[in-house]
Amino acid sequence: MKDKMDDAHAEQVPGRLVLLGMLVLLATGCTSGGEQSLVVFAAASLTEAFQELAGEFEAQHSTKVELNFAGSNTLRIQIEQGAQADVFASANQEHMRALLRQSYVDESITFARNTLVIVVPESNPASIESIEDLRGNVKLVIADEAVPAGKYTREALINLEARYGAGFAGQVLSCVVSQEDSVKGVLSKVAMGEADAGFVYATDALAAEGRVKVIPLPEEAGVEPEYYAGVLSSSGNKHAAQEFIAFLLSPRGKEILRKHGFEVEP
Amino acid sequence: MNTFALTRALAGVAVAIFIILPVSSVLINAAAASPHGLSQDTITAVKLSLLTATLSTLIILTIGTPLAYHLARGSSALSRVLELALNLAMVLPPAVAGIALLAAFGREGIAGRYLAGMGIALPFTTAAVVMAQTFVALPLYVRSARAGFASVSRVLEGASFTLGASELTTFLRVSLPLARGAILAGAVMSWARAMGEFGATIMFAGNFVGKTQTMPLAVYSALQMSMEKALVLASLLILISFLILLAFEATGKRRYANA
Repeated sequence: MKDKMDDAHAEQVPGRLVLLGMLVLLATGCTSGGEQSLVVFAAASLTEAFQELAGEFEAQHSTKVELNFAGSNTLRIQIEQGAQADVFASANQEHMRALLRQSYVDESITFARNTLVIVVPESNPASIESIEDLRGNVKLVIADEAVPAGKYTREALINLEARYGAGFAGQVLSCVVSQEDSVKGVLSKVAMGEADAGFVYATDALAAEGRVKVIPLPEEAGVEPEYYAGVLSSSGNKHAAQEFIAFLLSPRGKEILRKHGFEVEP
Repeated sequence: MNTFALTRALAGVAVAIFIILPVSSVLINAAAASPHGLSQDTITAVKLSLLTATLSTLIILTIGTPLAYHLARGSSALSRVLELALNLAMVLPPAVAGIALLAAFGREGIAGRYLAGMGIALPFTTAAVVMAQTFVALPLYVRSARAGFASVSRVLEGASFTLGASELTTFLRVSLPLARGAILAGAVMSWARAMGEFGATIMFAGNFVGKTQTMPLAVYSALQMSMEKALVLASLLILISFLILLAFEATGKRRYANA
């Protein structure tokens, strides 16, 4: 019996080699060589603009650009948890500052501004004409407090109490039926017609033109969303990353951003 | 050590690396982060999860038990269609289930627009959470219960009929008790699946504290803020899952001891 097993053992040595080989493959499979690629983590509201920017950048620089869009807060946590990226573009200063403080990013620049607006479905089922109608029986969707758009929304509502009286923010927030993990989540719930209204950026509203109607906020809302970009300190491709940021600030980059509704310095 | 023993050892190491290590890492990190403690939102999410998962499981037992029996006994064209639909629901990614529910029951969905006409809006309600959970968990239950019913000897059912019992009485007094092991296993599985439901819920029911934010959604939302808060919540979910497992094993042991 013992001998038999040893015979079988001897015969199976090639099998063991195969297994070993598989392990080696597994261990080395992660380090893929080949052409250089640039990984860009960008705020969800930059989706359409950055897709176009990346396309042109790829054509100009024979560098593949990989885009990862999510709420800036989510991207920040991904970076803090060790995600490998070359460029981070945030929809507010808070998350960029946090990464600067922890030295995940060496320096950052601001490259665009946006505006917060209300969107309603094209059919406007709750007949909303102004922010004052966002009270009572309205299904309102906003971004989560941790997401920049969600933070701007709450700030704007509190600022508007100066105009509509104390308690206004609370009244509007009591209509909230869902808090989305990114501004694009808010937009889709409104565009699908599931929600009666939502707070998004003007650029998102533009991207969903024809499916949503825009209601501007009164000036007293007083929020000016600003976008920041920086190169990650751990980037293995800093040169291309800097070129990408330079492209954002170039006349062509600005033109694309402006086309998607962002405000940029002339 | 022969190759097979080596393979088994490697499989054990793989389980340790891919399952035991991540789960215990959550617990270890959560212990360090625990000063954050349990917020009111967390307690609300736990309550909502327990409520919705229990409701879904009750609905699943009510619909799924007769259905499982039917599938175990008949093989009509209708049974085959039903079975295909259930199998499809089981392999569908939950996000697709969410989209499907929206397309059907959303305010502008195929059926939803008529419901909206009657003043019923399902999205963003607790009912939507229960629907999403039922959608994803029902197939698991039916699969298990069906296997249970299939293993009940037809001779015993036939004997019951011969003794003058009706079909219903036979089902309740013979088939159901004999399949109870599989039914219980299915119920626990579907309850656990309902507790863990995330994708279909966040798409169809949205994310709102107290109404639609179940535990998995709370973990996800917490992660938007800080890893620590998410860790504490995640460890709570691990604990609940572990308790279910213990309860299940305990009832299973008792069952076999009685048998």
